[in-house]
Amino acid sequence: MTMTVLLILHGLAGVALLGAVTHQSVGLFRRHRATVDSFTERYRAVQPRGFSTTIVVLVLVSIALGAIIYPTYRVDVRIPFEEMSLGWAIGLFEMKEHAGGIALGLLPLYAVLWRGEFTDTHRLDRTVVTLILALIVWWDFIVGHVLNNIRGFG
Amino acid sequence: MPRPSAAAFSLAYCCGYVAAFALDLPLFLYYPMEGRFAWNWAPFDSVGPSMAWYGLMASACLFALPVALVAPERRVFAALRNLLWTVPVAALLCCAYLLRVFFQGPA
Repeated sequence: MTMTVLLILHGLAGVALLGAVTHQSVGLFRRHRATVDSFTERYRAVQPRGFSTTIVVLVLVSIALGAIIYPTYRVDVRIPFEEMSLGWAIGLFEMKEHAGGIALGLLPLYAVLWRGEFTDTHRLDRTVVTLILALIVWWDFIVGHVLNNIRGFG
Repeated sequence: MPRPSAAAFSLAYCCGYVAAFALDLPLFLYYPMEGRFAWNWAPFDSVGPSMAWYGLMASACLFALPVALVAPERRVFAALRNLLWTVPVAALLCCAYLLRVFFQGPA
């Protein structure tokens, strides 16, 4: 029961992170003199810098919750996957796990690129690192959802 | 004491993570059946599986921390201007390549 609650919290943290990192990524491509008549322009017309601290905290919370529930997955979910010969499902989770591990190490660079003195000189780095983080968050969220549909904690 | 370089830490962490993964060098393993940790070089005789993920992150941190303490932040940013992103991209691609076995046949 505790693990199910933590899994739900992990999912909710993922939803919040998905929203924040997507909004920040879209904000990277806003036009300087955009009109704010449409929904998409209003969505893009945010200050992406304001999301960085929230994103760092949410990534840490998501990974911490994921790390706590991971042993339950390893025993209660992955072993049945192996028995069902679902190698692709195990592979998807392995990619989620390693992408999450790399995202954790990427956070210091991400934070400096958004808050430090290099924001103007390293725009390409900032844009791509933010998009990498967004890609990892989307990948991890979708894979987690798919695997939970195949076999949850029960 | 110099301030640790965030960029150097992240880049070294990505390299260290991939190296630890490719060479099977997690600092420690976790055994979920028994709830026990053991050093990678002294594995525990478990009845169940072992988990390397925590140990891989620890290995990557262990590799990245001294690099971050030694490398000057400004020099890293200047030398790799607009190329910093290539390291995490390469790390992700390496991990995907190492995991290809899961998609080549039954588990």
